[in-house]
Amino acid sequence: MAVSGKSKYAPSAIAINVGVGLLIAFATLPLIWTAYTSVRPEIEIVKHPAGFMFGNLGFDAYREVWKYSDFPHLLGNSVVVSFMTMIMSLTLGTFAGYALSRATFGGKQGILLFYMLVRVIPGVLLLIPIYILMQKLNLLDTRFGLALAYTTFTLPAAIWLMKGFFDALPVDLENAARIDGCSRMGAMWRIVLPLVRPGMAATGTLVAIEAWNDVLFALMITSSNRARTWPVGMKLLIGEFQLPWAQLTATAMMSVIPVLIGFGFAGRKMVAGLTAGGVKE
Amino acid sequence: MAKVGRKVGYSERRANPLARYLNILEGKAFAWILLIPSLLLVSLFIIYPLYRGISLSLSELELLKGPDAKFIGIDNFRTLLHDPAVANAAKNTLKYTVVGLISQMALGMAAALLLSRESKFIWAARIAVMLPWFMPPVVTAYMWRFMLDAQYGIVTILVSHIGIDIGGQGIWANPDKALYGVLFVELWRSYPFFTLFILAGIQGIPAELRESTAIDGASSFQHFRYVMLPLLKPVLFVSTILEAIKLINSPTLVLLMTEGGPGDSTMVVPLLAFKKAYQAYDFGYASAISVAVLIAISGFAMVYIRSVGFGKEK
Repeated sequence: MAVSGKSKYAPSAIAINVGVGLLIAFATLPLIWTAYTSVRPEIEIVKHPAGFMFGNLGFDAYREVWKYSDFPHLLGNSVVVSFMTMIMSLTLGTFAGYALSRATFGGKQGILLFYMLVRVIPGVLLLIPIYILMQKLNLLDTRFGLALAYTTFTLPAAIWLMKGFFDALPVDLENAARIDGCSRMGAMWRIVLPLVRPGMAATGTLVAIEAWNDVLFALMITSSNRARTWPVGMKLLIGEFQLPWAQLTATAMMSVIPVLIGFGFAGRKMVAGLTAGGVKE
Repeated sequence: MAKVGRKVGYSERRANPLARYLNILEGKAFAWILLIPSLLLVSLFIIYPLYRGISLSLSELELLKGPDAKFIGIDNFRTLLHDPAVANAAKNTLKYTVVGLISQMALGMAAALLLSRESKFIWAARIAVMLPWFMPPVVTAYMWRFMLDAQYGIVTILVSHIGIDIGGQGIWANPDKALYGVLFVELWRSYPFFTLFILAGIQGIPAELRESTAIDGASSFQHFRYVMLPLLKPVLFVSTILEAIKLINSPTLVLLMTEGGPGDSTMVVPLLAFKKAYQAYDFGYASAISVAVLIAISGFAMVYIRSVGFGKEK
């Protein structure tokens, strides 16, 4: 379904390919340069900042950072918090998204709009009361508290996305199941959920990445390595010591690798889901 | 009376009225059971904090002085109006939002047009282009701080070869340039958001339209200007408003890259509020600044919606 009927080798097609190539380079080259820097010896980086050679590469910088940054523990916190956020957002978001997709009742539009408006409120405004609330609930500086705070922000997006995925499934499927004697719960559980699994994977990855990436809430709600996540640890590490370039880029690579894995795993579905959601606006 | 609509199956329509009524009730109850947990959670962590935040903005609460909030009416807002730090931050936020929106929209649109062409591996290109949007801001921030470093930054060195001299002190130490440095990184990170939305919009436009305008002799540009752009208007409207809100609200990138400096040349309003809360523990004043941001955003949204005339067309 080409937009225009022109041949693949027309000048405009070449121009488009060059343009796409430039876009890809703009997006990926910085990351590639960072990865390259992280395995170069520090002396090389300082002596030949723009040099490009493949001798003497090694993982010394990673080893150094691993040794003095409590990295495994902070990384563990990041994983646990992102995972909890994902489970909570996905469970609640799937239920709510299903209800908002299938049933019609008074106030449905209002609820959808409300979830949209939630994102308008400045995070900083909510941050202070949430800090006080967490203090009262004894959840300050805990991984669960952090995950709860993230869930409230990721849940609206999860609900909108899941509603979009449910909307794309024909209702006849559930009706057929109901006629065959399935309960409402059974129809949802046995018929609809298995079909919407790719959508759940995409939504879950998106939510997990959002939790993984946050700095602001983690900085405020955590106060020790007990619950501190890796991005915050990294910020504090870089602020505290003047890190050599190789180690700075190595810490960057260490926090981007999980995102790249998640993105490679669900990226295609995620982009498709997001574009589908966009159309419905 | 609410009805279950699409959910009523073929067999149920023939059932007796009482059974049908019960079925509707059951469907409605089922929907609410599914909805209530998420509504509860959001109420606890958003509605209540929002209420608390607004009431804090009318109080004096500095944790370093004591744990109790004292009601002081609109005093915080009076202070805020005469605070030169707030005025400076407001000016920077305005610059950051306007320049950010225009640059991201332009590049986002160009990228969406380039990526809208269907071919076998275009999905891979689309994913690669979206990547910066998913990157941890910490990584983005330090990666670019390194690449734009005055002495060792690869970008600084490369552009000096084509005659652009960033200067001895570089971007980050220069009060006139630092904000634009962050804006460039914000562009790199955030324009895919526009691309995503516009691409979705373009894919919703039937391909036959281009064929018929081509028969009428319209150039690609005319097709874009007079056919695509009007059709993309709703998408552009929604994406602009969402991105504007994000740019005004989120201080993450500025916090990580410059912390408002050098001096206070890159201090934006939410970062000022965050610093007041996080470093000075002045929760009352920080809340007042945040409430002012919320009011400004609501005002901006209303003016924008009016000026675009959205909703009138319906």
